Amino acid sequence: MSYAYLFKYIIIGDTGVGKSCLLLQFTDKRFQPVHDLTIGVEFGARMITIDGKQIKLQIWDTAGQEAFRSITRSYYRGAAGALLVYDITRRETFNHLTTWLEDARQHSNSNMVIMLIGNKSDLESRREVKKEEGEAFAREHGLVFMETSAKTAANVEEAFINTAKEIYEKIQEGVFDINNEANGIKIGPQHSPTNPSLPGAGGQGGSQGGGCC
Amino acid sequence: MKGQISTQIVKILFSQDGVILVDAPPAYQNCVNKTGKMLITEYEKKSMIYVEWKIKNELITSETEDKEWSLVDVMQQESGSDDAKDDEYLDCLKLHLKNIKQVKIINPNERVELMEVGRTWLFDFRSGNFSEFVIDVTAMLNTMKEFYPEVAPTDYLSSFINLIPNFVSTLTGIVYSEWNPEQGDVKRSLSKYKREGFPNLPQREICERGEPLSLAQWQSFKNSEGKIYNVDVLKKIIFKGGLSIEIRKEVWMYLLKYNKWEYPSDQQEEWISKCRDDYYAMKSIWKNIKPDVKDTRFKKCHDSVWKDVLRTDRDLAYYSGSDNPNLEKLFNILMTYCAVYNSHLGYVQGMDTLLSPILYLLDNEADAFWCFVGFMNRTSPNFEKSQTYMRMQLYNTINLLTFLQPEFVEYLKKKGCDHLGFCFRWLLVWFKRELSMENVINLWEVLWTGLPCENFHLLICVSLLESQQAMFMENDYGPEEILQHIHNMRDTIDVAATLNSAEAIYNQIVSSEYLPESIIAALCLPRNKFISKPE
Repeated sequence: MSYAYLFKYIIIGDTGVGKSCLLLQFTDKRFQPVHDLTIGVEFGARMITIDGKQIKLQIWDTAGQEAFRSITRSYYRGAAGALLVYDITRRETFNHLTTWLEDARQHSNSNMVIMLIGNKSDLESRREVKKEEGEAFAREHGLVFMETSAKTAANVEEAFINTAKEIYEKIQEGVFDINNEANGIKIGPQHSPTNPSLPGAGGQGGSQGGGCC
Repeated sequence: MKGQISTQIVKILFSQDGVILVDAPPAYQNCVNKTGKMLITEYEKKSMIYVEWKIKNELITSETEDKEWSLVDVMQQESGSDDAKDDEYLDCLKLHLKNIKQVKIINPNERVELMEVGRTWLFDFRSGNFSEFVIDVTAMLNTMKEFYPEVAPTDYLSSFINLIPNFVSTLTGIVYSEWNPEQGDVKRSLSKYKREGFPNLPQREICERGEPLSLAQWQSFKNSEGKIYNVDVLKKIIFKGGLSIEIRKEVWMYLLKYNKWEYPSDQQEEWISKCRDDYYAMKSIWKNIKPDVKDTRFKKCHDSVWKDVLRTDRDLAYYSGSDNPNLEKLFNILMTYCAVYNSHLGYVQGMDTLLSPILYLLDNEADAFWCFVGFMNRTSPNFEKSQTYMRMQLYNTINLLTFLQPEFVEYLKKKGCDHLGFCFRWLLVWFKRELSMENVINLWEVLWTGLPCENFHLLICVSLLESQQAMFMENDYGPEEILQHIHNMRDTIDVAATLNSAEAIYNQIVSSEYLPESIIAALCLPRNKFISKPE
């Protein structure tokens, strides 16, 4: 299917916080309570619309366990957006956010939009991390924040779409060099860089119509 | 042309002290034979990665001023690098990764040569971490092509690799070599480069699976005392046809080195009984840890094992339902292994996946534990935190594929997929995720024979990849499509056909006129039997 842009995402966070379930809920609109654990990486994609434009989200879902960090790190590269997920019913998954954030910032491009997600909001009775704590962490580190439930689908669409909106805005502002695929953004096959409705590559004036393939 | 180099190290990617500079260009002779610390550092951007060697605790001077290599003076050291507090070491050599043209292992385990244009540096790693360094540098040089398109992909031909826990130990030779852009057309140059030194492969002969080992056959391999003789012949039959159901439990215990081929029946029984007791003794150790003294490491292990037990093969009747006692068994075995038997390694995801078929088949907790130990003795390097062994296996697989299907590898390179990251899951859990329980049982018992070579499972990878080659290339699949396709292959894999094809590939390789070092190492072939280079 034709798209104006393709954004590459990565989902990170401790094991068992619901990364794969969030992806499944977003791409397939279903919840699988018993889910095979993710080995290496998994992948999903979905089309969304922002500002009347078709945007393809290409989402890489990673294994959360620390032993695989050195392998999953290679998927950070070339991501435009990251969903950093913790489980509101397990305090330790929140405590590990700093490590995750450091890792993400070190191995990704500096413009990557990071969305902090407190998942399992349906399990209010087992909550260990207050919403305010998530908000404060996000504020302190310049992240967007949202609590979601992959089970009830609450805020799942919003989490993925709001991240895309941020990226889209950054493109409009010329922050992202859209001609450099290492930024996790690709212009759709029908939308060559010469299309005047698209913003030019930030600070790269004069490089019109850089070869199509 | 280069931007301002910041003095702020963003990240230290590698660090090892006790590294001696053995040889260096004349201007650096005063540093030769000094001990220092080897670092791989990253500054600001990912494109600024350096190999640095810092000299231990003495001031050095040099008249040299070089654009790429420079002796950073002591002032700079003091004025704020991250390492400033670490005055045990002083900045000395700093080589931009971009300028490294060749990495060569001179002496396995210890000595490596780094080459830039007209200059060579020799380092001895006296305090370990040698292979880590070689692998890290090589891996980074590989990924660099993204930042410096003029740098060609690694020469997979040249002998990287080697295996089994002490992989790099037996290896010498060039592990990275830069393509020379002066040589003209990239594609032509690359394919010429790759084929250089490769023999013409003989025709691939079709292989066919045999019959599974029957009960009667099995009995015929036992002498009156119950000892198994002619184990080599027996293993060959298992390799060709697997096992029939009625003897599977018993023979698995031999293949996984729990039962001993050489024990007579009475000694075997004694041994098994002792092992079972040992298992329950180990199990009681962690079972008796009182909740209030549970340290965080134990708790972490406990929680993560239980979390994964709840999502291991739950669609299988044997593990389904909420109060299934087999979940408890799975949990007990993993806990005994991870918290007691091999607590150094601890629990890593995927172990559950390897255990599940064993427990399913043996349906006995203590026996399944010891068989799992046997399997883990082979596969535990897969779970090490450095993931070095996993990376080595991927390297070996691409080497084999380059030897057999160079144009396919060229395609994967073009798509940025030649790291074979999409095969990670295959190798980590021996194709368990891609196959039904019945099929995985059929595959594993063949692989456990260790025939026809140590790393036959890599040829399973190659065989599966070959079977998808046309699909990938005709549809112009990129990294995403390939990963998705590979993960969707579950239940479409024909184990018998895959084994036939892998065996045919093996036969084709070993009947080659001679073999490159990389192939001998990848498959762990006996060196004396295969000539690595033509006379």
